[in-house]
Amino acid sequence: MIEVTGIRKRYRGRDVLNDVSFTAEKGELTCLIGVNGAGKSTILKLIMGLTPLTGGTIRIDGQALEPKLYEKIAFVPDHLTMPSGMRLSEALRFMADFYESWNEKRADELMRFFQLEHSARIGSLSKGIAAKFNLLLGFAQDSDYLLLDEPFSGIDLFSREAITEVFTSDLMEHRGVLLTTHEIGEMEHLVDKAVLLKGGKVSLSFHCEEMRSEKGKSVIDVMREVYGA
Amino acid sequence: MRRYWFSILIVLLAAGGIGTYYLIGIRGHLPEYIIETVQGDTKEGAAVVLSGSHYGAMRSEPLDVTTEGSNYLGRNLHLRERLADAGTWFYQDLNIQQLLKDHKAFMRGKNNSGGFYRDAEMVIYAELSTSTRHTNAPYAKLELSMLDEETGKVATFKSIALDEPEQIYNIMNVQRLDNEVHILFRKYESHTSNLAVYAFDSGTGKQLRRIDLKNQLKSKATEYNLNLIANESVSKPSDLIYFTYSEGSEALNRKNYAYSYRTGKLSELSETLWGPDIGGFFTYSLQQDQFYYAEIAPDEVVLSLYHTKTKARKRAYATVTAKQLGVDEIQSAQIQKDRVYLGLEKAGVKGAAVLRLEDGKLLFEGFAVQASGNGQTDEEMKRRLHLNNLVIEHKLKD
Amino acid sequence: MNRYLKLVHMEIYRFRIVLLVLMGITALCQMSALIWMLKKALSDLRGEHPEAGAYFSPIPLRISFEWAMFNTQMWFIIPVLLCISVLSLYVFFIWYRDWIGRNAFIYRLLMLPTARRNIYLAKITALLLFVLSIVSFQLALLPVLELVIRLVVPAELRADSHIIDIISSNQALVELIPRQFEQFFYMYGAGAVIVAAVFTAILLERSYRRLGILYGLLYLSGCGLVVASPILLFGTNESVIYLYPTEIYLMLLLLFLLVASASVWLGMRLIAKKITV
Repeated sequence: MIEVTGIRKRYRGRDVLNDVSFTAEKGELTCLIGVNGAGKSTILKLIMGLTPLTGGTIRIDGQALEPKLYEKIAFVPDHLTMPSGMRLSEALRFMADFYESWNEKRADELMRFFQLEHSARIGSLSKGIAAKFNLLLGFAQDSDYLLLDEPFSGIDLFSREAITEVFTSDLMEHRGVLLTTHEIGEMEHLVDKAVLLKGGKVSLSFHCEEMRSEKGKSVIDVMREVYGA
Repeated sequence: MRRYWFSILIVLLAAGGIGTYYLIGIRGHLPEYIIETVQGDTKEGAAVVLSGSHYGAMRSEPLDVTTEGSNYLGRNLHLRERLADAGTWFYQDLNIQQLLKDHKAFMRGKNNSGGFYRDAEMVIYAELSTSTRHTNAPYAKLELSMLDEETGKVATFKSIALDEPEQIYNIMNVQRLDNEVHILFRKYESHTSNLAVYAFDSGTGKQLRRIDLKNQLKSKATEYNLNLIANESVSKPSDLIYFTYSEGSEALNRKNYAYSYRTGKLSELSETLWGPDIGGFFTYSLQQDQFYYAEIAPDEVVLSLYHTKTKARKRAYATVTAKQLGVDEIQSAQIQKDRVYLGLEKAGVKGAAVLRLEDGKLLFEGFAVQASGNGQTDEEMKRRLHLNNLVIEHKLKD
Repeated sequence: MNRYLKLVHMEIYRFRIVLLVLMGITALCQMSALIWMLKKALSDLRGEHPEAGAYFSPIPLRISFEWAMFNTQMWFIIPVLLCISVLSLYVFFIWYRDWIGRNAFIYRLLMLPTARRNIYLAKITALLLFVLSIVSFQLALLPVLELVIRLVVPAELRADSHIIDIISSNQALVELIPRQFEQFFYMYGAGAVIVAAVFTAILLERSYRRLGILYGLLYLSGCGLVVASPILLFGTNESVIYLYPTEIYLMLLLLFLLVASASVWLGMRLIAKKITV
């Protein structure tokens, strides 16, 4: 379980996050929702140790973050973070070199599934193809947790369908997925838990199934209430 | 493993290139030389250093050659040795080396060799205070440190005011007389300088009296040079000190003067320390009350001695000829302690001889030769090796 | 250790083209300048096209590398200066290249399942290897150029030179390749300490952004003061120094060691705890 407790993040004199607490369980898909600039990406970066915490704690399976844990927790940022001169095959070898949890077989399967060329250079990829490769780098790791930042932004419809297919496959069965997105609409049926951010705090967090059965509301309904659109 | 070949290559290149250069590449650059003993005891020649250059194709390399081998000075360019080099002249004096050995802590920061005095009971050091150097405050303040040899206690008097602070003082000699410390200063004022002896109380550091030497000079000439004849070792006790005197820019009316610290009197000597019949070049060494001097000519060296107290002169008590030494020329001489060092040349090769000062007996003679396995012909060596200076470097024996 | 080595390899691999280009330019420039000079000297010796005052030093009876080096110095020095500039710039670029653009590789590096300090150590190791390998390349090039002389100049017009004399004839090389290894160690060791301090300043900037630039500059000034403290304490004109030469030497050594360890420790801490993408 990813446990975020009372975290604060100060950036350029402003409190971007002020006392955020939530959890993301293994085997569930948790969705962080909020308006632009609400700090969703920042939360993911804080969990991954890519930026320092101003306050609060983050625990992954009860442990504080240390380099070893990167075998267990994978992050797919909102853009591909490999040098543009690198070929896809070199990028795959880079991951294989450093991660024991890298699954080469799955990487090859996904390369075929997404129809990616081994010899293509990162810099020459179109936005959609780059996004697919970006996801591949996260999926092909045998991690317990997968964090995704805006996995659908700027992706065309058909690619989105392919990606959604991956989410429903057994790839995700036992993993804990935490993602942020604007495109909640298409994802709604996949989301197990929703965490709504507003004003640097968690406004509301709930399990979608319960919300639907007990209160008869969809996630979008709740969003309208909280953000008042 | 195979795909790391480029990185491995870079590592090998980095280590290999530099390693090969410093282990193998730098060898055999310059020929090695040594002073070979032709006569006498090699140990006597230990302090002899023939200094000069080795001429290469496009550059010359400075080097020193001793009985132990050659040392190229162009090599000594690293930090540790460069730092250690600073002030070697000061460290050359055996008495200073002894002081450093005996009283390392006391010697810290003291480097004016003219300011030292040592006898069986005390070590005294005098220095002009430098703390006011970069300010407008009066320059002349004296600092006296006195170390008691037996107890090891140090008494220091800082900032002893001197009576004419606008002048520039220079410490020439320090002597102790019972409970007083006498210091001979050279004082500079505009374009002239004068010698004066100041006496201080060693208990309180207060100035007791001042004796201006110029008042005691026989002649009243306005332009004159009065220079201290340095004692063999600046730090030994000697009640009498000697001066050379001459007038005007043409150095006329040459005389010697003697000054007694005890009486405070400057008296003109009836004849100079080296006597009236001196000819040509000579070098001397004033050792307490014995004035040794050696006249140098290309074909012979003549040793003489003058006792300053008894006024007895042993003129030419020893003569050593170039023929006796088997050389073409005697080029230089130095008297240090109880030895006379001669610089020699034989058939284009430089060498040195060491004589006993007491009787002129030859103790050592040696010439610069190639160390084994050099591959130069003798002709080449004569062309390339130019050892023009004879330097005597003493090392304190442990 | 393994991942550290892999990171070192990655840094070397990323820079390989630049390294090869620098070595290539050096070899090409020095070789062509040498050949041109030799041909000119040969033709002058044979009395073909006399040009008065064309050389810094007159042509000897036998051409040696030492003489040729003295007269073509500039063409040897230009590629050396180029290498120094490129490597100096890369001290900064080795870090900043991981932050440029949207494809910020620093994300990947910071998320590797290895201690963060290995990133720091790998970069400094790689940089030192670049410097040393280029110096070694220059040293290895000299015997190759000697061979070129053998091919171009006939034996009767040729004289041998010792490598030290060849280096001494070049104003830049004589400074960069000292005669004693101990001095080499001091020079390049001091350079490594400077790189470590600059790395720490860069990491300060990357951790604290705008304020970080100030911190970085303050840090570098601090390091400079520490190392220069003997001169400041004792003054350059003051003759009263209360330390003996050996003690001053040890003091300087200690100060450099201090700056080195502080820089490395601080750098590793920054990249582990304070760095931000």
